[in-house]
Amino acid sequence: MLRASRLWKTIRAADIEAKIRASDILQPLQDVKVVDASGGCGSFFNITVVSHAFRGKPLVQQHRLVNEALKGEIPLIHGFSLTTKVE
Amino acid sequence: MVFFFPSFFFHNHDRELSCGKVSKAFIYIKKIHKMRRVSSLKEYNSLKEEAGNGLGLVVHFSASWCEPCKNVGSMLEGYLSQYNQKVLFAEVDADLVTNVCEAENVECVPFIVFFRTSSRERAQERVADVVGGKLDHLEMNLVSLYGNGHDTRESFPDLNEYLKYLTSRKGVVAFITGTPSRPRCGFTGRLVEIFYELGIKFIYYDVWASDEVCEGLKKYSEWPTYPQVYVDGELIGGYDICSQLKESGELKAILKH
Repeated sequence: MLRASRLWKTIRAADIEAKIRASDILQPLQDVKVVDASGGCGSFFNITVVSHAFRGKPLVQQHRLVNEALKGEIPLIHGFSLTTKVE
Repeated sequence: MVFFFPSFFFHNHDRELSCGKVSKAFIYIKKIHKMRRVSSLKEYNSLKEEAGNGLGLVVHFSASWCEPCKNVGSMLEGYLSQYNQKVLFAEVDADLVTNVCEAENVECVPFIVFFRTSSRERAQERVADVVGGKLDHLEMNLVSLYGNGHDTRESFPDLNEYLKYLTSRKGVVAFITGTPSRPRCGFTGRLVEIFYELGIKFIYYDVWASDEVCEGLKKYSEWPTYPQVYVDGELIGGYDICSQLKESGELKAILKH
């Protein structure tokens, strides 16, 4: 099933960005940038998220919030690079 | 009193023990690991086969004229009893056994190669190298690859206890794919470069060595990727976070270095 799912669906940068924007736990969201660094193959993304939700949280907790928002997508991609900022 | 017997006798005895029989004579036999002096390629290959029974193997390529080799040799001798039954230690005189050097692609001394029994193939897998007499790297790899001699997975009642132990070991503990000298992904290589650049001492766990740990730690830490860096059992983050903390100048403090 995972294999079929992986073959059928290629994750796009826009999918990831939409997922982040729709996430309640990342509000109030200031900015999000998702760049497909694998040349459109949907296997590696550079992600930057700016949110006041990160205020007062150590980086590992900030990243966990984004990981939570993307828990459906992370198993489908080879890897990603994440930068979080408060503002 | 200790009796000494040829190695084939030990082998036979191990086989008997595995069948549940215990010979009376066994109580007088103490299996003593010594530094193996390898004198031929055939002997070297036999040694690797012997270690293929779930043991680790450390091979020190040395030369009689090499002063740093003496320090490496002394250090390794000091580990023989601690890793008794777990790791074989061998020394190859690079001047005399050139075909072993060629077989392992070793071109300078001292050169230390670390092997592990691959769970997938039951053969010795070369997993790490130390080039030169860097004693701190030697120690890092020994502890990282083989533990302290008593802390294998089987000593813990369940996986979570094992993961708690692994992540809580003293100092900086990095769970990586591959090893510092033989990384299996770019992030691992880049993380190690950060540590070396800042002089951060660490031990590692190669998650390729255990699917159980590889998958279990993701759940344990609620972190989906590797590397994962821990201090005092607490997850600091992966490469991205360490890189960000390095840029902001906070990494050494957060790693309590």
